[in-house]
Amino acid sequence: MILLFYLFSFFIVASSGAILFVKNIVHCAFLLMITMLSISGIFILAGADFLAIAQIMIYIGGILILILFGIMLTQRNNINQVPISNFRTSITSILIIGLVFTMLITIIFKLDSESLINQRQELIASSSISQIGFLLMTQNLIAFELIGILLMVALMGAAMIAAQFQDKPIHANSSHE
Amino acid sequence: MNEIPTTYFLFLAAFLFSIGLAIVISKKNIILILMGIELMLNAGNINLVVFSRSDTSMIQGQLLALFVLIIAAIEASIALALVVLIYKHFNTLELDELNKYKN
Repeated sequence: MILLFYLFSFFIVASSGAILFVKNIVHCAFLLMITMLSISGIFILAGADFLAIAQIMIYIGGILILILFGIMLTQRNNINQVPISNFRTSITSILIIGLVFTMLITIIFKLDSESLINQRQELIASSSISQIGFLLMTQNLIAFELIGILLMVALMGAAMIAAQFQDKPIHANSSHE
Repeated sequence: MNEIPTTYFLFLAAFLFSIGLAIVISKKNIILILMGIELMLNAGNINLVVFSRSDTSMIQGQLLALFVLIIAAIEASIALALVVLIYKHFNTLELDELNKYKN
């Protein structure tokens, strides 16, 4: 357990520290993805399994895709200059993929199906999902409904704000240049 | 589940928060600053989750962390819509360039 904690915190420290020094903004976005994945691992180690899944879905499925869209919409000139791949990186990626694959195969061979079932029952027994659902529907019902309304308002507002430039792009550009 | 001491998580969250703050302070691009804010929110979330370990009957910390996650998603969507709008108007995302348009 403590080894897993050290592994995840190493990934968090390394990738979030690298955001400070990396020049390419697309690389920063992918380093942020590694950080978010490791944070969800930390959540699992702290006993918050539902929150870890929510972290993966919201951050990596939502916010990071949004950030990448923002980068792609605003950095058109720079992205063309980034080389797509070269010989050295492809060799490195093949090596890494081979290592990961052999690791996975080793894990699968070492699996003990009996203990796997027992562990799964323990996990289901100690899950916090039912508790979270109960508390959301009883004690925190007002906050839950309010945050739903807030999400809908934010969705409409973001669509309104982002759609504005299609109305009068020529006027906006000519007034500032 | 309780083998890992709480202070380890707190150290990690403190480091993450300071990295996020450093990114917010030192970077010039608006999108990178948004990433720094997300890192700081995550550091707060780690603290909330870890402290909710110690009350097992009521997991209020995890609930609050869930709400923080959703607020972060809302903030990111609005902020990126604004970023696209700023880029369309001023054709740049560098804060020093944008400072010229103050008046």
